[in-house]
Amino acid sequence: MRSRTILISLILLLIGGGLGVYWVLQENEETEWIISSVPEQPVTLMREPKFLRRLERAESLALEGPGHLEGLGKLAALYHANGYLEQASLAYEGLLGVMPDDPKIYHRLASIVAGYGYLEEAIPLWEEAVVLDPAYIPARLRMGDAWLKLNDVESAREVYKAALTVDAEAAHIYLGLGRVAIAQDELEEARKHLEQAAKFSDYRVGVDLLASVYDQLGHSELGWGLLNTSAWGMYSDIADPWMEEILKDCFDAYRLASAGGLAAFNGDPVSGIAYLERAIELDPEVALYHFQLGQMAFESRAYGKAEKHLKRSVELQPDLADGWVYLIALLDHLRRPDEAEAALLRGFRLCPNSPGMHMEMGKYLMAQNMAWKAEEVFLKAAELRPNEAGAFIELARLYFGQNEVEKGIDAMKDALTAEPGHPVALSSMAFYSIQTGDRAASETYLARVRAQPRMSISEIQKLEQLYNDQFGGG
Amino acid sequence: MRPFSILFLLIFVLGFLAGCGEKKPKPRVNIPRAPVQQQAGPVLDLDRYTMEHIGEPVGDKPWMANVREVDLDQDGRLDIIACESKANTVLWLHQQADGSFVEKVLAEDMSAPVHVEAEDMDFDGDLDIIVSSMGFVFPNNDKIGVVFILENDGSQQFTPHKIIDNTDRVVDARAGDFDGDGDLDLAVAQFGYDQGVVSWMKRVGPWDFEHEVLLNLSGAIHIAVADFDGNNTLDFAALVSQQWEEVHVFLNNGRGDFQSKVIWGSTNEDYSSSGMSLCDLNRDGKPDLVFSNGDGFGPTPNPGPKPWHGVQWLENKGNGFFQFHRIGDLGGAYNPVEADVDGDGNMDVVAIASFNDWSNPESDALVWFRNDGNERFTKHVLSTDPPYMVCLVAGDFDNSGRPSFVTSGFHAYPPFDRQSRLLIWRPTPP
Repeated sequence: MRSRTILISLILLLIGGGLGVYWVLQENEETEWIISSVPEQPVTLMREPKFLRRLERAESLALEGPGHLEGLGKLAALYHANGYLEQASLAYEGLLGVMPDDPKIYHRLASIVAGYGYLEEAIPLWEEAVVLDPAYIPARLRMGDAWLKLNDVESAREVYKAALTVDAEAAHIYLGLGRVAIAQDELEEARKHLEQAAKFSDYRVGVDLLASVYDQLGHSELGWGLLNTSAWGMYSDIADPWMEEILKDCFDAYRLASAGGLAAFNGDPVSGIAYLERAIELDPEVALYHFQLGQMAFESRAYGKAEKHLKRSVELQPDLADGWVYLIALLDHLRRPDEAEAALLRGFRLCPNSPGMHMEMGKYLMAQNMAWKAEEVFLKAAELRPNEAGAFIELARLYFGQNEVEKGIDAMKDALTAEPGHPVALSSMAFYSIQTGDRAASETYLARVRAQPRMSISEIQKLEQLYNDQFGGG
Repeated sequence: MRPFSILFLLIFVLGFLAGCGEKKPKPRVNIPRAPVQQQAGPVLDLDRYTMEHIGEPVGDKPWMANVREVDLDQDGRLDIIACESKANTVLWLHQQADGSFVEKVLAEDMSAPVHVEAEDMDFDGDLDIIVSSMGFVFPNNDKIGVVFILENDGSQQFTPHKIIDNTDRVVDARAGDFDGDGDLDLAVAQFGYDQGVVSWMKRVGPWDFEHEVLLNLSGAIHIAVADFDGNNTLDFAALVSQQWEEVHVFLNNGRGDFQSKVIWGSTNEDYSSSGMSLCDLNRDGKPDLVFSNGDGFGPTPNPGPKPWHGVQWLENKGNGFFQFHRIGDLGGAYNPVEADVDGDGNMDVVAIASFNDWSNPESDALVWFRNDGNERFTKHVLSTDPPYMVCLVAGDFDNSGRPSFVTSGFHAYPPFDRQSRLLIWRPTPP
């Protein structure tokens, strides 16, 4: 009995020991793998102290432990977030060796690989990401896009359609399907998908292509109407939280400022402002970051923040004309005319060759009933920026206000030379031609007005009515 | 089973588990390492070329959008034609016998010209000039693009013909007889903004063309005309930037019926395609394409480099198929061209870095990717100055058999302290 007990104890001990040895060996193997996956530091490395400290800590954790895996994860994120993509991809490869079930790693690595143009190599990584997290739409979208760009429209269609079973309102997926349909000359099909893309994105996605498809289908009025109600450059990319969360490890002020600009452009000013604030924390003396933040804050109606950063931008760089222009606009908006005037006078003195400041000064002088002086300033603005219509249009307004019609018309013609589609200049010239009975010119300008989606329908109708009144017809 | 047998079995199983299992953990798919590995170098090669300003003085913030090398008056010396987008002019820099250049304005009121090409459009023996004009250079969705052809009277006096206007903004137009009727048609990249197209214009009269849209995508920036599929008819390729970031090829059956297909693209919204030209880097006789990504115009007030910016080529595998290859990294890369810089018989690639980090005086400005003969490239930095060159051409300007380069400067962003307008980069004498 006693020997039996001893034997059983011995067996249990051996089992326990064996398992222990097994666990230790596995751990060692994993550790060795992680250590071998730690990328060599790049030859040139950003000198930001916080970044370097974090990098050293992560590297030491990955190489020496405890927490080798955590260290490698941090290294991957640090390298990725700060633009060292070769090192990041090596670290991700290491991570996948021990965490082959983490979809984020596949997605991030795929994004790096595809970001360099290697789509065929990226697709299997996205396939894994999608298997591991079928609900994550950005991975599905990128995979579909990759197939589309490899001219495999059927695979792209399959991926997009599968994505719709997960999220039936994913605007970017409808855009992908729209492109597939266009590639196959199925314009009615494309129209349906693009209308869905527009609908589910509040007209930020697919609108550009939809307008073209309407035209191709012979529904030019629908295309025109779409463009008439949409702002330029409305397209925004899909939000990609798995990629965006890397930015918490970013210590590169320029990269953060760029990410901020992109976030705001994509309709997320809150993130845009947050990134800019971090950029400024890292590099507080860069006027452009303050300007960019002030501009975003102004547009987001965070007026206190906007004022603080716009003022700082022109303190740091007194000849930053855009900073002054925005500051004046903000102070005007806040109904603080004395401060706006002071900023204008100071900015104008400090930016003697800025067309923007000349425009501001000209408008100010007009408001002060000093047209003779405003003319001089607008002429200078036009000389400084001859390729934009703004100064010519202000000059035309000034001349019309003084009953100098011929000079006003000449200025409008100059505006159209600078910007041939400018709606104010076009409608003014149409109006003038009709009023002066120049039928041929009226018809030419009216045709251009009708083709200009930036004109409102009521303005066009008014001009057409004038034309009919003048020349008859209906 | 006896207890000792159990013991040995357990020891065996545990030993197997610990020692004989998978040696190294493996990810579930093969990880592509090569694509993002840094190339060797770079080699600092700053004395290989000597830079010289040519033409009129630099002035203030020139917008010299495009430059081409051509012997316009056919006197045996390469000249330069260029366009200034702010001044709306097309220029000719006539090379003199002593290698200097005399600048002359060939055309004014060109409505923001951004590209020029010289071709004998009317087959009268002299070179005419095709001008692509945007109407307005910065973002604008109005249909204000124009194509002009400047007709040469034989003595370099030019008459402008406006062959299309009120169309999506035009950035590149190239000639070719696409329908086999013996006259020259045009392949046109119309950037537009939200709307844009790639089109071709069939010649139907002396200066009359019919416009046909082939692809409804905005952002097309460059056209390259060649017989890509080897059927003895001219095809063309278009580089489409902005949100699409794709290269399309338009394969022609010889009658102007084009089959369009995408041959490469990026899913990186910020890829920033910036230039494309024809090449034959592997010298197999099939036309390849070399292209860059590094455009800096974007949603930030200070454009700059991104890690993925660089230069790559699409190897023509025949029958309309192409293989993508990365050549090398270059922040803010623009306008790559092929040239045999070191005379070793291999075609290298030279590119400019327009939107690099200009707060760093050591940032690359002009770069040579040396081909070892097997299309492996080593980066040589030829110059770190000046910033914001946007166009580059190569040519044997001194009839020495060695390539010189001409670059043009476009200064819309600070810093403005090192401006250039037109530069010639000549091989430094030994």
